[in-house]
Amino acid sequence: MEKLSEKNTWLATLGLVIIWCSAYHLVTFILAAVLALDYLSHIYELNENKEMLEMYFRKYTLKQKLRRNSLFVNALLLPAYGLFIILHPAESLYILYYFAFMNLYFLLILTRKYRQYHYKEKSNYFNLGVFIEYTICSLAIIPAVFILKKNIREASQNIRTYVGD
Amino acid sequence: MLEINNIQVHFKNQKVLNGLSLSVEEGSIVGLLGKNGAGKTTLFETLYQSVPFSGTITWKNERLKREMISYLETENYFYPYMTGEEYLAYFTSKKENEATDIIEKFNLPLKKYVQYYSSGMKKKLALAGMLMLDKPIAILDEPFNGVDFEGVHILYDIIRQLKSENKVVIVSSHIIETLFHTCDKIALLQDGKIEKIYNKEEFSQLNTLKF
Repeated sequence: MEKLSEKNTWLATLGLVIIWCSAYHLVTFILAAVLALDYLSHIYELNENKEMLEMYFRKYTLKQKLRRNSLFVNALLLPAYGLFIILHPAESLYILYYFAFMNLYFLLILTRKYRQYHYKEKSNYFNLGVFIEYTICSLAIIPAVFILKKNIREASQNIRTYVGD
Repeated sequence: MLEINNIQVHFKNQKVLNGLSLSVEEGSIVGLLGKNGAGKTTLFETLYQSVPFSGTITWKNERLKREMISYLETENYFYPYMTGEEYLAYFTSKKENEATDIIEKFNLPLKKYVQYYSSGMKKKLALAGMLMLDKPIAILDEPFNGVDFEGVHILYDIIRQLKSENKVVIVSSHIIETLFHTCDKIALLQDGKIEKIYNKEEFSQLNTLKF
């Protein structure tokens, strides 16, 4: 198991370096982002048990969790953002679109997890359909904003049934 | 007091709980006895508000909410890439010292990944987390399943401790002796309702009970 976790750490680091390096071209930049988001979605696929869920959300709200997690993801992506601006100063506005896309997709996946959460389910059954839907919505930005609002509302209600007000 | 009144639960055309009523006082341990499929787990899930039901369930004269209940299920699930130590570090509680004592008594290999725990070890770990949540009602569904001899005795102590803290404990077990050791009352669940409640002095009748 230690070996497996060591292997996972190396793979994650390698993946991160690939994402940073993808900043050299516009197409590779978005392609690497899509692949990275698929990987990230699987990380959030497993559910915690109801005791862990309750303990966490007694201390923090869903919005705090979303803020903390997106801060962490953006900190990891910061070198990619920086590198893209340095290498493509003429297209630097594109980074705003990239930032919105990455964050919206990530937040959709995270809120979906808690919207779907049920204490008897070990996983939230992420699949290709969800991946395609959320990728298209995030690329289009506005539909993702509406879905995100709905997800946050429903996820908060679901969490409240376990933790209380 | 926990009051369950006229609970009805249907799954498709089948009535699983049919007008079930039960009252449990604070600081008492009630055992639930019934053959396979009698509806023990359905009753627990109804109390945990995870199945639709008709009837009323009140705690201290108010509608019972899920947040009042700790529910130890028959099967316990954890994130696979997590050690026992990491799991327990997640919980902070006023009762941390008591929980630490229990964890020490259970003698779990906390450095090991939970994925490699036996079902009995997982049960002990889930129980430790559950205790740290410190809720007024504890539901234990077959808590003795897969637990070793030593663990069973620690479980007896934990259940008695919950009683001394004035909590309601509802426990099911298919090993009748474990209920004799821990419970103040044993409720017999048959045909979707509580058929009879046995007090401590009547427990001997259960030895010859035929469903």
